[in-house]
Amino acid sequence: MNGLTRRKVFIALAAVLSVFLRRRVFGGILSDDILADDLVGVFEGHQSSAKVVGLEYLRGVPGEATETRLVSLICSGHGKPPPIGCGPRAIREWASARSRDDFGAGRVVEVQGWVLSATEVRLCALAALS
Amino acid sequence: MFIDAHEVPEETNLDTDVCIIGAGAAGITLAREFRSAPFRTCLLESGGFEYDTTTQDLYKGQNIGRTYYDLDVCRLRYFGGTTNHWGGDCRPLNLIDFEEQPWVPYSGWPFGIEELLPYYRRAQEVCQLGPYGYDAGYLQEHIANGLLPLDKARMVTEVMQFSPPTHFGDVYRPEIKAAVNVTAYLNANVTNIETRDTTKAVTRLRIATLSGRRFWITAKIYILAAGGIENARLLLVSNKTEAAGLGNEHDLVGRFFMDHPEYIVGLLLPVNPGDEKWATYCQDYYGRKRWQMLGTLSPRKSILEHDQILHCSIGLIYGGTPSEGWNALHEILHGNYLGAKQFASDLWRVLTDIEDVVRVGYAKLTHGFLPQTTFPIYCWGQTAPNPNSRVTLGDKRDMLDLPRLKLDLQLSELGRKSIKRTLEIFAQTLGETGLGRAQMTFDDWPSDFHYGNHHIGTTRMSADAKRGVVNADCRLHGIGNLYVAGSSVFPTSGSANPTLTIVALALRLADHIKRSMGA
Repeated sequence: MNGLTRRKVFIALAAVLSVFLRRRVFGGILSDDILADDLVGVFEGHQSSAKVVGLEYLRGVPGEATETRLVSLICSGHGKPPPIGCGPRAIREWASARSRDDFGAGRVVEVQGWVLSATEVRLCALAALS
Repeated sequence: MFIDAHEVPEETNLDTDVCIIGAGAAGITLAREFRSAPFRTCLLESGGFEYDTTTQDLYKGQNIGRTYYDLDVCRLRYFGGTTNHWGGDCRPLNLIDFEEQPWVPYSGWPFGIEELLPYYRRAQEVCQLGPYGYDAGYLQEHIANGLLPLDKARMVTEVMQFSPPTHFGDVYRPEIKAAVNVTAYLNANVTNIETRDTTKAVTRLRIATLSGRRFWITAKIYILAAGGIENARLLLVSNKTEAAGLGNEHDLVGRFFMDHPEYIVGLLLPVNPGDEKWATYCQDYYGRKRWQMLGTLSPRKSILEHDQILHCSIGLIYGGTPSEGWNALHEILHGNYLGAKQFASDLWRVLTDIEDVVRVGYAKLTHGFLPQTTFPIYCWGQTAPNPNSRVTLGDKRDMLDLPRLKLDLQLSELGRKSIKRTLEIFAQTLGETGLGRAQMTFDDWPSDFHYGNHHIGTTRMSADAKRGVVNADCRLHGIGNLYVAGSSVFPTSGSANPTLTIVALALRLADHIKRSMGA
């Protein structure tokens, strides 16, 4: 990993972080219509940064490099499912809470040494594929 | 009173009651405690009142293990000892440091922290500190900005206090000089600790000056307080009765050498870089400049036990001045420019960055906090006791014809794992609290790892003579009148800087000696 790539990931991560930890507005309701586009909408203006982090993650786990697989991993498992159809703010609210839960439960992954929640890094990976 | 050993008549036998070998933190603390005692104390110091290259040369040795500091650089050999370059960091050891931890071989002190607590409180005054307070509640009361909610289920906030620092030689020299029952000999090097043939008791000390004068000192009680490395050396070279050296029946003297690995192990990306609460945890910010204390974070005891790791502490580093204009102003003010062209360039940088220059200048004048894009993460680690990490006598000899030391520093896999896991827990806590994210840059011991210059473990303490050189009273197993003071008696290092514990143990030993002398 060269220094330029490391710096790109760092800058991207700083942007992604601003998305995940922005103030929350409200909680949404569950929809059965799960769409990757809705999930990726969480990045609102920071999608290119998310892609840098996501691509770096997918280099280590090529088995997750499909939208279907990522959506399945993001939406399944612990906690509330994402409030699809309720807009980016609701998704951001959900993703932020889910990330905190991930950290609390130890569901973390390392990307270039950065300790990230499984949810946030998979959302980045989804952005990289979209 | 002070006497220059050069003035002592050749082959004189000086008689005293208690003889302390070494005038560093431990030795001076002991001598101060004996000032009012009804017995005579002799304090021996190898050097004088100032640094001297010839005396310092006696500390030269060879590093044959991991890369470590030169042995004549990481300690000082004149009145006040290594406190002459002490940074002043003070923390007591933690509860768990005294316990036998099944996952840490050779762990466990012969007593618990409750035994040392009253002495820690007394040590605060000796180290010129404020009240004894080392928990989050105390920090909250005394730090204006308060704490971040990092003190969660997995981590606990601890406190580091900062001594001015106390340079024991300078600060306590007048007291030693005025003490009528304490005689301090300068330039007096111990070259042999003599024992009877049975080695059950020390009979006298052989003293030599670098100018060649030699004499004897006889005492009822002897206390070795020459430093964490030199204590072992003096026992090893005193081998006229026992070839392996004094107190070395079980081949423990010099083994278990430890120092604290200290390093930048990661990077923190804060969500709110301007939150002044970050300053509470920043080394070289509040710690030294304003509040004289610092918040550090460590995994809770239950986590240490569950994850089977050593206690390590995390702190942050304050980046200082993120302003190009301010740096240029600094260059101008300090005359570091290379002619008119450079001056003009620096001046231009100041003018084009005037907003930041004013901001940084104001922050510096008021000790304000400047937003930090990132904080380097600093770790105070520890390494597990390892019998193969040791000092031994080498083939080369010093000016006193004593063998120089070889240091074979070894670190432990448990120490590496503990730093890494502590950083992981911290990173998860940051994420869980929403305060930021952390990058881990530590994976394995790098060759240029830094250490605290804390020399620990070479005459370790244990109730069992097969596991320790000294007993719980810091007396050599099997020798009735020889005690050891200093960090060489620590069986485990903890992650805390050792000086406060050295002083606390010296105060405890002083009480013991006074009792045994009937004082």
